[in-house]
Amino acid sequence: MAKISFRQALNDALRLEMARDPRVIMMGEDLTGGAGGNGVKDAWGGAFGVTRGLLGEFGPERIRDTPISETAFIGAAAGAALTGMRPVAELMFVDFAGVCLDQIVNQIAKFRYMFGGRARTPLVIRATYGAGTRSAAQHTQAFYPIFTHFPGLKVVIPSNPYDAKGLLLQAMRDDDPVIFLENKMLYDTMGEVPDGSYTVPFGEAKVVRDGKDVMIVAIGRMVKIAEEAARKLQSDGISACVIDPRTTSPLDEDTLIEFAEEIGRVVIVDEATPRCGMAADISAMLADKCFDSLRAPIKMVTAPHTPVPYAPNLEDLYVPNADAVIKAVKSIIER
Amino acid sequence: MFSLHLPHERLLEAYRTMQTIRCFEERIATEMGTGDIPGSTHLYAGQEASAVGVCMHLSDEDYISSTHRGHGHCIAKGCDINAMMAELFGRVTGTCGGKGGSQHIADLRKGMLGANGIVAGGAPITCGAALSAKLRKTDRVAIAFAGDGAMNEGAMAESLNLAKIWMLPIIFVIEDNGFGEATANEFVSAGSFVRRAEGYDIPSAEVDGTDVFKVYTAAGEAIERARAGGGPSLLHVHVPRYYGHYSGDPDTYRTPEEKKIMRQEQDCLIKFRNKVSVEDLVKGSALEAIDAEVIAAVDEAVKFARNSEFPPASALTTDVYVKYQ
Amino acid sequence: MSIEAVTIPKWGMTMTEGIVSDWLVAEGDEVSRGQEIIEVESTKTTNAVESAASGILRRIVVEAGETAPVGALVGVIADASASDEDIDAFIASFAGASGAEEEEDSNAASIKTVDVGNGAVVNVLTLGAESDSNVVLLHGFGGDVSTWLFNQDAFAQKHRVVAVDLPGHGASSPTQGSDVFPSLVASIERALEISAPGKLHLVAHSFGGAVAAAIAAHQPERVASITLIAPVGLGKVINKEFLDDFITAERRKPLKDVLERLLADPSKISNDMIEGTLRFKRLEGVPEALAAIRDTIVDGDGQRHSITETLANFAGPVALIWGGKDKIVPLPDGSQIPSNAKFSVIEDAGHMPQMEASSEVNSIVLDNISKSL
Repeated sequence: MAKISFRQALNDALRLEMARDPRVIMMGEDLTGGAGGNGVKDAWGGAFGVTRGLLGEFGPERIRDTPISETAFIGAAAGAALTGMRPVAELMFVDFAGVCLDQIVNQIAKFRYMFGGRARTPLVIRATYGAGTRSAAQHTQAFYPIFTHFPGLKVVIPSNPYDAKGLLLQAMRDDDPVIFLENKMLYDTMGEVPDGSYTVPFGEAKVVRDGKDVMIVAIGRMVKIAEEAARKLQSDGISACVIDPRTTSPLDEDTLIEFAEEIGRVVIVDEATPRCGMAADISAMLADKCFDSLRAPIKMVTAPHTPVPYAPNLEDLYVPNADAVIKAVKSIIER
Repeated sequence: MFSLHLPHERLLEAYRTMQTIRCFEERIATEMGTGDIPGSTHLYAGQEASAVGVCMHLSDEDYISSTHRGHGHCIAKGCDINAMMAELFGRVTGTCGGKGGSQHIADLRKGMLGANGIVAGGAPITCGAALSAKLRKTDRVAIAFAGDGAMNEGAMAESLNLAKIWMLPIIFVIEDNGFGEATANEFVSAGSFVRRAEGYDIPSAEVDGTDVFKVYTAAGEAIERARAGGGPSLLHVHVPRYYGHYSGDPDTYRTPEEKKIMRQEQDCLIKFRNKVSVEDLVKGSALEAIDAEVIAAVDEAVKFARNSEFPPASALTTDVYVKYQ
Repeated sequence: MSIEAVTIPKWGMTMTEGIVSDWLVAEGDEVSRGQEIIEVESTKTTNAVESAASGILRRIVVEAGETAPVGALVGVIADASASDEDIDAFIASFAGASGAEEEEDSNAASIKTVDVGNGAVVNVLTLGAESDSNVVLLHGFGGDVSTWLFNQDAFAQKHRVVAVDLPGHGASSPTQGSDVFPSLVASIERALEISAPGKLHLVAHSFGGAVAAAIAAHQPERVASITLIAPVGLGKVINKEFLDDFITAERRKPLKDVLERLLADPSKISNDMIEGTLRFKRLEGVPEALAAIRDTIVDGDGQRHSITETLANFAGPVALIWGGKDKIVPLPDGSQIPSNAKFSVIEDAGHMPQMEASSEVNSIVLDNISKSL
């Protein structure tokens, strides 16, 4: 057990699984950095340093820096997965999924179903997401509602280093295609993580904090925001429960329903934009299944219906914060 | 010429496979009129020599991917025509349990990675299969069949580049039937396919796709190169497409004259018969026997399909995931 | 006249303060020893605290909703003969808060793994003043040192405490090879050789009881007292389903169902407990290691261990503590209890009285230990 960063936890998972299973290969842009050049090799170890050191341990056949050709290498990951490999491909920014969406949604997501259950596509697509780094509109989005929408894909969003490692190990061992989303702002956060291998199951929400007055459902980076809000609410005498779904597909509806029925007040905080998002999805599900137990409308705290702005003051307004969550909680606590 | 050296058995096999494809496709054209084949099909009739000439070099461990016009490749790769016909009829006994249909027929046991409803969608996937074969240190190859229309998709350009830079054992077989759907190739394609490939340093050749022996020869060279670690090749294979783009297409954008000439002068089966009889390689009677067997087999396939059940309602929600957990 | 302090307890190594979440009795109420009188919340858990004394709750010093440091005075229990001035004087002179800091220094808990040979390690928690006599805490199946969260500090007031994670639990590596139980005991004995030289007062729970008995049988001259809480090995009957279900539960809901069977009051299973147990069970190799240990505990005919003879032959004091509502290892009948054992039943507790009735258990343990000194 050691206190390590989210980034290191992911690196550990990749290293452990690549050592254990020779079928695991990685491909993406600048996974190493420096390939083909005259200077240092593994110069980057990934745009965010997640894959540093893997080249040295596993070699260039298994850690492949690709051309800037998302359609080609995501499609290649698909073909390799169909034919016995277990690829982990990386989209440097989830925003780039636009360039290769066909391979993800029309091919990878659908092989098993279209081929009558006679194919499996055990691949992982890792991608960074999220606002806060001043990277502006095309490098900051949160596409998980889009992927969640497509049957055939699994969508995983860890919120802390322990879950990051366990969920990524699970993703690599899963026989279905997994979109694994890493919030850029979480890479440097620290947490206690066991040294060895372990998996965290999909479709299993985590009760981050128990409470009885309101249930706050939070995704990814918003889990910390929700915890901060819960601490502040505690001193106002409001006991908030925080639930982290961890995977939006499959979604642990049972836990969300269990707590919604017991508590009766729900706030959902999600940094993705509001239309057709996870907050709306979870809200509709709970309104349908827990209507009689709800004592107030379900509140959604999300980004506004805009692209992500560049100016720092504007970007800071864009991402939900603890105050916004507190405000939402208090608006329903008296009802 | 390869044709002179192909064993008798292989010549018969080539003919049987081409004839099976032809018969299969023509039968579908008529069955479409009954309404028992749901949706749309895209018929391969006329292009048989291309699929057969290439696939004769392949075993079950080699891979192919196909296009929306995939029945020919499927048959050439050894897929069972009963199951294929059942799939087109949407029955549970189909290659994909009735859940894929014409454009998604696949049989991974035969290395058939699927017909694909997205133009050029199969090219990147085939690069992946080639990569897999290479990493597992086999000498297997992967063939990406595509049409002339696919050459203008970004996915194709990316795949050619990736295949070369990674020296993948892949052959891109571009079956140019002159039309991307309803639009003539000259109207939409700049330059030449061969020169495009050469721009990536990918060895390529123009091939007469009406002559199975020429296809066999060109494919053989490319496949040998790939098996030996020499990387990708591209074959620009010229073929006639007998039917419209899709099975209900009135095909008025081609004149009756050109369609007539096509069937008379560019028919790969007629050319094969002529060649083997001129060179006295196969008896006419052997070919006629095959003709009869093929018609019977396709008949069987249709009967099999018609007698099969549709998938049960429960099949609607199965096999989305291996395990949704 | 006796005046007793009610204080914020210390649960675990990192707790520095607690919130009085609820007073369960009012000023002026009669309270009896063992009765739950106050609910305290730490960052990790909420638990009720039982009264250490009988009398009247004369004064509430810290109200519900307020926070106080570990060891701080929150209430005063005395009988009617104490005057209000006596109570005031008691409160004014109470030195609990600063006492906690001093305790921190001299009794600082340390936790580390020790090498027990062949690449295996045992995780050892020590606290309390250095001594040649050690109170050794041995948890049960599926547990770890945190089993003793509500007990270790009470023991450390007067003794050196050494708690271990059994092999395959907590941070201890699993046993190797096929002789699971002997290998497990050997690892613990080696760890105690290194970390607890001198006399051993064995305090063990459930399966830990079998381990304690084995140590006592091997080293009778070193073991000074034995206190067992709901141990295996006195009868044949055991809830095998509990063990099986514990091993197979991989998700929160099923594991919560399993853990709830441990306590008389299932609502006391906290989210932290469930999460902690899940994290333990997810580690590679843990389910297999637990299954191997389960197979040493029970087979088709029931319990496999028998500790009766070892206890009967033990020369020092033996105490047995059992919860009246134990659903895992049922209360033994008279014939199963060795005649030299003092047997206490805590009516309203389940299989974990050390958590459910910690004050009373602490008292019985300290009492049994003192008999041998």
